[in-house]
Amino acid sequence: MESFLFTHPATKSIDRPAHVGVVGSGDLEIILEPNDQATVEVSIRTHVTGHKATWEAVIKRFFEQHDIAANVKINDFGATPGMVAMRLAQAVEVSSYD
Amino acid sequence: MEVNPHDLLEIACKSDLISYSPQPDWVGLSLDRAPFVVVRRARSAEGFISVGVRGEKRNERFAAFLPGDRIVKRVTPEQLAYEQKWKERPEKLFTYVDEVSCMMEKFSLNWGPTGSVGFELASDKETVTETSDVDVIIRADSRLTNELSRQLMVELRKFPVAVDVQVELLEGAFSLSEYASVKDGEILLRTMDGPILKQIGALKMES
Repeated sequence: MESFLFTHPATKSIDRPAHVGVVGSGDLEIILEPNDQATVEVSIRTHVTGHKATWEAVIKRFFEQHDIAANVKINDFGATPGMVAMRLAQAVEVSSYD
Repeated sequence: MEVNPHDLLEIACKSDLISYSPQPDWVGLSLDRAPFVVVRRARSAEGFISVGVRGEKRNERFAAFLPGDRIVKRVTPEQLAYEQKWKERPEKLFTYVDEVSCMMEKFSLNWGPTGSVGFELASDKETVTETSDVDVIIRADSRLTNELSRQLMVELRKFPVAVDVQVELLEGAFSLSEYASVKDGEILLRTMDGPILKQIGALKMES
């Protein structure tokens, strides 16, 4: 088990919390909650060690493209970077869907 | 030979594997112990199969390609379910596999074990650990309704270990637990071209 915390400046708030994904091999669970700060704070817990740099790159790229102020909790079970990006997109969609 | 994701392929020679990144030391050691690779859900050049090598640790997974004519033996998850060799294995985890098997038979579902359980059954080499899940696939058909998926999840959540079920369709695979929890809206589908989000109503329940 390994955990990291990344923060990134953000401006736009989200409408509602979101919980997407699955606790299972090659997947991940994401919990998105609104915060009232000008940052996105991402905390990651992963069962697969040794990929901090990849996580950092995936998270940075995603939140540079999606400006949302939120607390993001990720529980990872060995998802690929493509899977992580897709689940993040799903979470953002759920949190701001009218 | 037609192969599908999760099939286990026995190889004759580890030098048959082609990879574009340097092989860590554990790859060769792992193949010496059990010369099996797992078919990955990823595109490959004509005549080649995308495969993965598994090591002992969770972070030991290595992607490679195998020329199709270098397969010694192909073992599908269904074959492993049919053979029921878990009955001969000592680890506690396999008693849960037996329970999953009974449940799948009760609902007449076409299923098979994958992951560490499948690997151990196919290779006859100890692979599961105390932290292993029971990974299985179900081949989709029209009987696997949203209602049945919820019934299955109620049963599966009673197990003392995590039972992770992927539903395999022609176009990809999704998680049974996600299918059971989402009545309408989008679900994540793992495809040959990576994960996509798809409307549940648009899924073709065939395999």
